[in-house]
Amino acid sequence: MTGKLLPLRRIEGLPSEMSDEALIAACATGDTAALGALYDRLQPALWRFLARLVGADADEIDDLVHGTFMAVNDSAARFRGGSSVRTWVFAIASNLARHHVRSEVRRRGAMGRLLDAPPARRAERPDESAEHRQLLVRLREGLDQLPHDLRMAFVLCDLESFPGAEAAGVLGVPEGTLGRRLHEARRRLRSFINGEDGSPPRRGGAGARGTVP
Amino acid sequence: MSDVARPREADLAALAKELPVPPCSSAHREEQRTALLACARTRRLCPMGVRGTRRYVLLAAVAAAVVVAAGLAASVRHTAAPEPASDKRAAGDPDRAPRYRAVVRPHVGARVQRVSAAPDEVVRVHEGVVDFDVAALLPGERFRVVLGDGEVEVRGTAFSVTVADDRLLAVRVHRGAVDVKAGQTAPLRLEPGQQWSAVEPDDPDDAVAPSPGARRRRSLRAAEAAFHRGWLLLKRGDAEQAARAFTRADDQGAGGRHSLAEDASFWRAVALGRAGHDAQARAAFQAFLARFPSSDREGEAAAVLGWLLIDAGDRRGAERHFRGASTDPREDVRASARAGLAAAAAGAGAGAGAGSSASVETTRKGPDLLRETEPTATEKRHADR
Repeated sequence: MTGKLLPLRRIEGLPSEMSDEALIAACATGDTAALGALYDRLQPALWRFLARLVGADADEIDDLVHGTFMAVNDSAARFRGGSSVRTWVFAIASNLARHHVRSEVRRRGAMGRLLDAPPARRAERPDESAEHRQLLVRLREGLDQLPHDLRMAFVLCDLESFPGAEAAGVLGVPEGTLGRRLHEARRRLRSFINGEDGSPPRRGGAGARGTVP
Repeated sequence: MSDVARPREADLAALAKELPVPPCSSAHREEQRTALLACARTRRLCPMGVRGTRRYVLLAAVAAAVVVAAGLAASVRHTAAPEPASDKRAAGDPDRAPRYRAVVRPHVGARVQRVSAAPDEVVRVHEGVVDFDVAALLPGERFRVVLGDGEVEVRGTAFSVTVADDRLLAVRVHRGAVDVKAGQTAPLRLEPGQQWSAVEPDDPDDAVAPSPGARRRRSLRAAEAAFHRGWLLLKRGDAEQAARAFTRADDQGAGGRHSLAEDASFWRAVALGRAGHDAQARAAFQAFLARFPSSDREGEAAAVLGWLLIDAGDRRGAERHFRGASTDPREDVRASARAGLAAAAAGAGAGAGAGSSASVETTRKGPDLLRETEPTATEKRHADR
């Protein structure tokens, strides 16, 4: 038990009403209700973040989310309050995702099924719809090909809209480094989508799976 | 690649946000949450059990040493006053952080908070089932579970407490002994294996504060009962009341994507049609198709909706739905769709006969949905429960 942890703060309210820091303090004392409240609070964002980071296989994301919260529970006593709880939890998730051995086949299969689903944004014409879907497939492929650090920067800043300082905190790098990674990630993605990386922009990425004419 | 497929830098993030994310339903989230908490509890058991025991042994040894030392001093000086137990413990506790004697394991849905630490440790339970594993208390220490209308005090034990609406419902002792004081009654001592209950519940689910799973099961039972009633009413010809019953079945927990919700939503639309509420039936079929786009009933519903739209003069809308129904696996649905397309092309359903708002005329509707029909196996299952 460290001086930073204040289990008695739990008297301030129900777990659902407590601050993130108080919940972590409660987790450190073995309070699973606090862990449940933290899960309720962070799971949706964490799920989306991991889905965008590692792909679209729900089982894999489940494993990562579960592993993240177990790590949070186990490490709660070591939380020093140097960053926000959200930053700390996302940093744990990011590290887990980095070391996660992915099954490319499963992931691509799942992504293919998702991309085959009707697009959320309905295009006016069928050919526009197909082209838009093709663009999304291409973007997903580009994102998959990015090195983990660049992909993390892009997902955190451009997709999850983390402020620069917080994203840098998650990655454990200075803000300047984060900025360079973000710039490089965007450049590579644009280049990949436009076929400027040497690989021709394939017609009908989804069509390659036989779904788009 | 066309311009459409060449995003500018500013569009890159917006485009990436369109990348699909697998859905995580609330039911799935609840399952994962339950699994997580179960794992967290299991993992806590071993470390807490071992480390906690060692720590308490150490503390007890230190406290004993302090007592012995105090006794020696007293025997020498004959004037030493007994130290409070908490001070004795603190003497062996270098960081003086609050200590908890109990491992608290709330079940899913429980609301619990620690109010204070040892030596007078208090846990407040508002709702749900909570298990406690209390280590042997040192002299002078207390451990209490406080509820809206009662209190449970223990000395080194393991027990469960069930609370609903801030009222103590049940206490079950696994090890040790507890004193239960509920309301104005005299304290009652429970031994291992004994349990105390405020009421004798009729329904096992009522014995405990309902977990989310129990609540879901309960509302599903109510929904199934409503569906059964709706089905009987529809067979009896009371389409008006049947529609209400199916609405209740859909509302009472069957909502979402449960198969019962699908059946209730479909038959509600049919009942509205049979009751002559064409506008409501149209809306109900449209809602059904939107909610259950991959339903086995999709073609059937689309065909009936097509005919209802023809009656309403919306030939374009009708054609769209007939086209959707024209690929249905069932021949009678496809035939109805073909007839509907011909009727729409001929104008206002003239080619198909009828045309009045007795739109429930069935000769032109292959599926015959708006007249008496037999339930599917699933519907029979729901209705039989």
